[in-house]
Amino acid sequence: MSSLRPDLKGRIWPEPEREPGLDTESEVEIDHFDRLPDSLLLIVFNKIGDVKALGRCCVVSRRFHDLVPQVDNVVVRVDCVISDDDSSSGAATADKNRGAFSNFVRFVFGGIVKPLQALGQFLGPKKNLSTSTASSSGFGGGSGAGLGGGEEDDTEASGVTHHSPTQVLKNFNEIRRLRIELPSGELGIDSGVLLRWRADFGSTLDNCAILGASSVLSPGTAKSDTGGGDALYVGGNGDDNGNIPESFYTNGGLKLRVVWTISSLIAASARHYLLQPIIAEHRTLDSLVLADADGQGVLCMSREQLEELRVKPLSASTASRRTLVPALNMRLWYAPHLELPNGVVLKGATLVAIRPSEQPASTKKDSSDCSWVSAAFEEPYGTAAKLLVKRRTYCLEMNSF
Amino acid sequence: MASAKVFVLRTCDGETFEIDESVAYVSETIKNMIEDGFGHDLIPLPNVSSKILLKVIEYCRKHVSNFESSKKTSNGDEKDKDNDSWKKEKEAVPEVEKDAEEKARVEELKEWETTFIDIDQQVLFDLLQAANYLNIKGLLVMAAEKAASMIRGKTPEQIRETFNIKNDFTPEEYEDIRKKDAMNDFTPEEYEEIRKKIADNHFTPEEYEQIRKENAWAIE
Repeated sequence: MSSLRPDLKGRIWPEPEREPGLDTESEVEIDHFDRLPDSLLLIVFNKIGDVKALGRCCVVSRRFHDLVPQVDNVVVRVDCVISDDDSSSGAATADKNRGAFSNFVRFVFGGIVKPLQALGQFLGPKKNLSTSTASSSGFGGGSGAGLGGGEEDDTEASGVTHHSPTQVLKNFNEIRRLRIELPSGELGIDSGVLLRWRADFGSTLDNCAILGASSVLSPGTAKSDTGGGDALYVGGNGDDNGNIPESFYTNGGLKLRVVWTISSLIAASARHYLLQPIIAEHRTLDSLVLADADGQGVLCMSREQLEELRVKPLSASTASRRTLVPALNMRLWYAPHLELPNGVVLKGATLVAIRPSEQPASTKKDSSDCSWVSAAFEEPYGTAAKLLVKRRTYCLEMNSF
Repeated sequence: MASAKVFVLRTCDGETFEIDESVAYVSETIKNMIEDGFGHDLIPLPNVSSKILLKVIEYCRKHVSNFESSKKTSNGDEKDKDNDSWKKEKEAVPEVEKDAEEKARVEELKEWETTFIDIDQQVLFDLLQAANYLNIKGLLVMAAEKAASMIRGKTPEQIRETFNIKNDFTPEEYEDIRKKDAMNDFTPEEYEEIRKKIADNHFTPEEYEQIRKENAWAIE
């Protein structure tokens, strides 16, 4: 047998062995999976992650079919996002008696960011896909169906049906770690602008960290920048006194940051709202992450937070399909020119740390504790956050919306 | 340092292997056996062949040496996490150097792992079983990930071909299941084509300009 051969570094395909007496009509090669106990096979399945690959495993054999529902680690990569285009015009005209703030928010909602209304995956039997109208008919059309209703036949005309993540996940009974990945971030931002957010939700927003920069200069290009735009830039991160320059308030810098903040919170609360049916159905979840392929925004929920949502349902915002954002305390840090250890330079770097104004009594967190903010972002942005947090802190408040 | 303790393992095909204590302890199973007092004579491993044990020992040795060098490159980093090194610009240089060393170490480890796990199915599955029996988490994860990567991206038929798995459904069962559970039996290439036909759903921010003209914000 092959085990007597030397251990080669290169990959070799198993040679078919012809032994007398073997049933030669069935395959003569060995199914190595037969040697593994179910527990080991499950370990392998738990490494696969991709829900579509797991779906295909389901039809490979009876054994695979019976084991896949026990997989505890699943990644759903969403192909398309359906937004309810009709809702924006409706929202803008609604309820003029609200304060200026609410109208502002409604306008922002309608224009800049179209929160997700539904997630869909283009799946289904092979049909003629040459119709290029697939993209236009797949979106809008007033579907507004939300996660659960994805199986409606909105897109039959384009030749494909789509399935919602809820549907795709119903075969799994014991998911502990679930990651859903959107094809891209919801926030349309100018190229060159950096904007990242991470939000943790229970029944409502627990905390949110936002990192932004008006431009990002790669190492090398920063050297040629004479820093003319900002009188306070003298070179090096620690040399200015950490204050926000006066120009920031007048040149639209502050307002832009506020828009970033509100947009990020809207995107986060919309994602949270969408997850309800999945959370209700999968009670074994330990961790739920809703991210996007651009790395723009990450929504996280831990086991305790998921439980909290099941016990205390979320409050929905009246105008739109998203969770109500509570009244907030925000801390903001700013650096006109921030150089990271890897040479990258962030211009107009801004960090915002957001928490609800009303903290539950059980929270022992010191309000000045900022370690969670620095930990919110992957490198190199984690370093940027750590640097920004050392600068002067500005406090803001925001009403619920 | 005192001379490291050495243990002798014996495989199912009668071969013996000598390994240092630190290498032996990478296996939780062997560690427990030693701590229970069974390390004085040979430690028998009736479930593991010599060919596979060689591979396992290679992994354990690499694991130990990698751990030693990681302590050197990230030692300072770990200690400085919460204190003042972020403030002192002067400290930035050693930090960056340590970072570079750490990066190089991680890169090298990745390359080593890729070569290590590039093995045929027979060896891979043997390794998976051995790692499970010997309770070596890192090796188990590596082997499982390799097996999973061989499954990802394939159609059911390709999966069956790769692993010689028999389709033991009846034709009726198969049709039924395929409709209910499979949800997608496109090949990865077909799937990519479909994705490209779906336009990105990006939103432009012209409205930003308008917003900027509205509303002032109170700052304390």
